[in-house]
Amino acid sequence: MAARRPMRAFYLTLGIIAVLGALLIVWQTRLLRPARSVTETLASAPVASMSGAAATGHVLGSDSAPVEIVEFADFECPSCARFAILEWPEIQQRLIPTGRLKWRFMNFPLQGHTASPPAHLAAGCAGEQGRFFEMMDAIFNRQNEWATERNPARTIRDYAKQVGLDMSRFDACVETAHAKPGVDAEYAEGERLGVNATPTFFVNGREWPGLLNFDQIQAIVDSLAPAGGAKRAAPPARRR
Amino acid sequence: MRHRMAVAVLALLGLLASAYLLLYKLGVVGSLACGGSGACERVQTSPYAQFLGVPVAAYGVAGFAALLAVALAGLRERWVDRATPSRALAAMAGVGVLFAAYLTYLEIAVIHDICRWCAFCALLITAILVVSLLGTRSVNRPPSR
Repeated sequence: MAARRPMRAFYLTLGIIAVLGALLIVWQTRLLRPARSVTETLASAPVASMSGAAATGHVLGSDSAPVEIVEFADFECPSCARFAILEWPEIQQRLIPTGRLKWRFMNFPLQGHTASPPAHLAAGCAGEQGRFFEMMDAIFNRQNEWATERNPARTIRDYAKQVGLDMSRFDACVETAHAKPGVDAEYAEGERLGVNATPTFFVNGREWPGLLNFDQIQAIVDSLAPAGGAKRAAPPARRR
Repeated sequence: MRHRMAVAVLALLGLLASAYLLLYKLGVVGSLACGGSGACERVQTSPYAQFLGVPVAAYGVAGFAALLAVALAGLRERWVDRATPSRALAAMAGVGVLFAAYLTYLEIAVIHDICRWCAFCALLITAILVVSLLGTRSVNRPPSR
């Protein structure tokens, strides 16, 4: 009998640890996060008219994807880097391959960010070799390396090598600023749409107020383009 | 007996941590509670988060579950005085430590980021190995015939 008491206490302790641990995990799951609010938020946002022709940005995903998210971002922006590090990998790996989401990145180098223009130029040059998003990942993931340097272009050029670009072609692009007209056009498009901070997101033409995380993007995609189901009717639009 | 109790507690903690990482990998958990630096996400979304096509976290779940099962079985009357469960725990933990060391090497040398939850699991499996080795030394062996 005396030996049973320590065993009971042990099993009780084990049970408490198991229950507490399971509760913590359940609390972290998206089962507890309502998705309805993203639909309401989108429905109340006005629809913006993207000009399209001059500023196409850099696209990842199927052209026939029913949901398009446009991101205006600055490579020197810490919030943009945080989004790229914390949210983008999941978006790229889990949502875009489903064919329900298309992502469009638009360059928006903020005035006063002196280190970002060479980063946007380098990324644009990588885009000419079909490696924009790989270069984007490298630049954002290592923002703390180059953003405070006097000559960030040199460090960013190393990323181009690591991404596997044709360096002679990349160097020629950078020297002639070949990608600059595209960057400028995307910036002008952002200004026309009233973008004044980064990152700024547009979901199927509607500006999202504030930042987005993966959970919200997942909820948006599920709401507008349910997996395996018919596309839901879009909420009524207010044009500006 | 206390060694096996300690292993059971450590294995349960490892099982919970591995299950958390596996649920994140499967998309059930939306984001990892990991300090906000992005290190855990970079590790978990790297190509090295899978081994032979299976999420590494799944190996953690299976391994810690097996350790928990053997530790609990070793507390049963039939096995409590026998050395076999302690040796089995030490052997399993040894394999686990080698695997954890390989993963830690990948984090440091290749990915250049440390996932706190992975480091926690690595510490747990190391502690399990130490405790189970101590257990093999202290268990009473049945008299030879």
